[in-house]
Amino acid sequence: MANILCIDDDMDVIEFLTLTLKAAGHTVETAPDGKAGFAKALTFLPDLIVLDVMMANTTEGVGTAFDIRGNEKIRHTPILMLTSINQEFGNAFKLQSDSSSLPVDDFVEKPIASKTLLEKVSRLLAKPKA
Amino acid sequence: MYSELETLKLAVVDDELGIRLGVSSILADMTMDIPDVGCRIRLQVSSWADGESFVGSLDSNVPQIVLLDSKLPGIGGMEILEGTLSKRPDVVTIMITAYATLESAVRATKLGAYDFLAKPFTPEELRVTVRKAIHHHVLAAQARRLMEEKRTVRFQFISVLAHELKSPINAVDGYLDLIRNRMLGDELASYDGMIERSSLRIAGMRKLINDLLDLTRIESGQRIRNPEPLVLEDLARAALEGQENAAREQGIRIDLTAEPGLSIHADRMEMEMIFNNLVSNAVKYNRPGGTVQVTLSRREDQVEVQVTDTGWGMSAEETARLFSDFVRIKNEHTRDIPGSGLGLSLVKKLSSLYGGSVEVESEPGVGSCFRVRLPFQLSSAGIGGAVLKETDHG
Ligand SMILES: Nc1ncnc2c1ncn2[C@@H]1O[C@H](COP(=O)(O)OP(=O)(O)OP(=O)(O)O)[C@@H](O)[C@H]1O
Ligand SMILES: [Mg+2]
Repeated sequence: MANILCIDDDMDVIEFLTLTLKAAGHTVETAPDGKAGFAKALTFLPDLIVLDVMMANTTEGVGTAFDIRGNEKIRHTPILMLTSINQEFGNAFKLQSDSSSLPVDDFVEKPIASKTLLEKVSRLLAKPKA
Repeated sequence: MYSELETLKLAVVDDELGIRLGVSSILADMTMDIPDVGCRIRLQVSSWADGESFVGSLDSNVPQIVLLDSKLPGIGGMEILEGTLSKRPDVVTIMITAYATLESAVRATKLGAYDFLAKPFTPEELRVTVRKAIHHHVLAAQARRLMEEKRTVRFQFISVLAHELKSPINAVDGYLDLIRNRMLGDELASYDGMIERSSLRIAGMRKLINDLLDLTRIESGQRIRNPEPLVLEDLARAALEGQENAAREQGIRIDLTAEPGLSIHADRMEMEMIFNNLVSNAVKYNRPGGTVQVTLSRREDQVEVQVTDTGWGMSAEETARLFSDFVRIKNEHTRDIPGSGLGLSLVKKLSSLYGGSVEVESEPGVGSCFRVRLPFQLSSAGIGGAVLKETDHG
């Protein structure tokens, strides 16, 4: 089982993620914003990071993803990004169809179903390390 | 005074060389001041001997104003107006008509021309007509800009609102998913916490919708306002009472110091909103065992409501963001405190509605102080009676 870091500013989403991932046998750490999450990633060295795209401002999650990718210690950690951005921004962001523009490995759309979350997590953890 | 010198492009399309040369030389060094928008206009004139080459030039270079001869050898002025120019509503067209007949002028106007000049025209006639067209162009451009800005603001507002409404739905959806999948086993009591949190999130969403309606009603002037003389101290006391329970839970003390005789002529509910928001914030964002000091005083022709707390405070960057819709400062202290982020925005809108103001001073780790100033009205023996003159706050 894996060490997973969840970064989201909504305490109820954090609660959901923690319960779901722990029930599947993972060890979970959490952080309420991008800055704290990045700091925690450096010490916790997780196997996977679940990252909300939209924290205090619309680009915070995106910035955090770039920070992670720019750091030698954690740059290869798979990132699963939580979004609910598509409907809100229409065509401004086409995240799902274009993960190449963002340094993340996969997306989960909110509201998150625990089944989908666990499937995506297992798939990412099974991927051979780059 | 006219800080901006703007160059507008004017094209003259006429097969008569005399007209082209005349227009170019008359308009070449004309400048025009537009006081309404504080800019000075200069013209850059280009001329075309036939319709085809003018239409061709539009792909790369669109003038703001066109002087267009209605009778041209090839494609005629009316055709250009009806065809190419009809797709460019921002171009101001002045038709040059050979025969000063009413019909051709009416027809050109129907096709979208702004004005017309009848040949032969004097330099002064030309200048007057072009001046009018420039003025029209500048005001229309400004109106378009404002409309565009309004659309952007509206789009941003709706985007943020959508996010604020979706967050609680997502949270509740998550809990329902866990309950549906019996993530904590078959014991119903294990899910009490999730059900409680779900109720809280739904309550928060309901509050957001109600706050939003209040805000919109006030902004759009839909709310019927009943200005009446109000004793400031009574308003403050009612707000303190409203926060009593919340304060007691946190061991927070609230003190009120009021200069006697302060009153204000205002709508009661709107004043209650100001007081409630400030006092509730001072309690919500305070630390356990902290204090809230409410001070009412007179500042010349205004009354000042000052609410000081000993809470977690805010940095300068954070206070700079306050007073806009949905702004919430997120940190470890505020994370679990529910709110819509509309309270201070409402306080600001209401204060300005009454010709007042709101300001904040805050220091991280020490506390915050919010000050609202409103126009003062002398409180006399006649509070609530007929002695006070009705003043119009409309
Ligand atoms: N007295 C205060 N001390 C510290 N922070 C404050 C204080 N008052 C407001 N804030 C910060 O400003 C933010 C905006 O306040 P505002 O009253 O507009 O919204 P809210 O309290 O979050 O929600 P509500 O719309 O329910 O009032 C708050 O979320 C909080 O972070
Ligand atoms: Mg508030």
